[in-house]
Amino acid sequence: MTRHIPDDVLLRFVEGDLDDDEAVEAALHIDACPHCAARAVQAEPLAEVFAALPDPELPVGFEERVLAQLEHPEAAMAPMRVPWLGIGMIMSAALLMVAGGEPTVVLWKFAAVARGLGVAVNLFLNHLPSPSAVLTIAALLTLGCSLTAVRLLGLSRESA
Amino acid sequence: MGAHGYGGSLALRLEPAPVDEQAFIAAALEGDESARAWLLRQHSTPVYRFCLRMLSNEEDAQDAAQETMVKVLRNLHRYRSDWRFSTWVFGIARNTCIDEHRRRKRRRSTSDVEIVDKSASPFEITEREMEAERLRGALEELPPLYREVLLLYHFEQLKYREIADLLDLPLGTVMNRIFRARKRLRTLFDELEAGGNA
Repeated sequence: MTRHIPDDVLLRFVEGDLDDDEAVEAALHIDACPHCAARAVQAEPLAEVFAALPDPELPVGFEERVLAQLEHPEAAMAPMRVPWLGIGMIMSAALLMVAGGEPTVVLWKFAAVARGLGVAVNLFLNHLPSPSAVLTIAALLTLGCSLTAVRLLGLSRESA
Repeated sequence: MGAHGYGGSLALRLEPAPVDEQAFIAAALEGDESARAWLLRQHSTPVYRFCLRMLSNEEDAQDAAQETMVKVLRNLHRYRSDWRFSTWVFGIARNTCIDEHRRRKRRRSTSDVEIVDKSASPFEITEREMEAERLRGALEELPPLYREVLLLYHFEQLKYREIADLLDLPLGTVMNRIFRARKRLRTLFDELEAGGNA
């Protein structure tokens, strides 16, 4: 046998004035009791406005586009607008590895590479370039090239 | 448990999807294209409605709804029948809206958010339509965390327990969120009404 929620309790439930345990208990009852669920909906002050909100119409050709996307997944894939950014990240990382250097410099470079990888992951997830991504890659490439040049200069002086 | 003890089973009751829907899901998994089209037809409108009300932009909503339905049909094998199918679908729609919202934030500032223009002439706008317009405005003003629970409960008819499962939150947390959302919505609605009358 089911006992329905008394009116005053239902009103306090809708207003959020029950304590946590009572609210959970009432919610579970409402989930299982269509009668109380309907009363709770009616007790909501904006119920009529909710009911009057018109349903938006599905855009023309929506279902056809979904089916086409299922049939031709390659056409549906978001284009990688900036594939060169990923390549830039790898080049930057490689240059930094080649450059070597003092432990503090290596630590600093490691942080830079980690940041670069973070940017690359972000790009992969969002498929969108950002100014910070471009700046990071430019900075990494500059750093990598500079360190490599310094290293090669040092090696050539040593051999001389 | 509280002191009221309403009787009846208070245990989790996730109603299984209607038998015919389960049959359509099984058929779609077997490669039946008409079953797949049926599922698409059944769920496209609610998903688009949810996405539109979450994102407040027709173009973004269309993208999100389309992506949701593609994910649903591609991942049918991951659907567990102890959930209502529509709850599972809304879970995917919600996650897709969150992704779309993040992408949108990167693409443009919030000041560019398009307001859905229904372009009704002033003579066509009845009191009910004005209220609906205010409600749309109030929903748009609500933080997404509040908006989603109200949309799922009041417009998509999910149960409290289903929303808790979908959001992976304790029921008490969801209830608090819904209560706060309702109060905030009413305040916003009244403010818009007062603003409209001023």
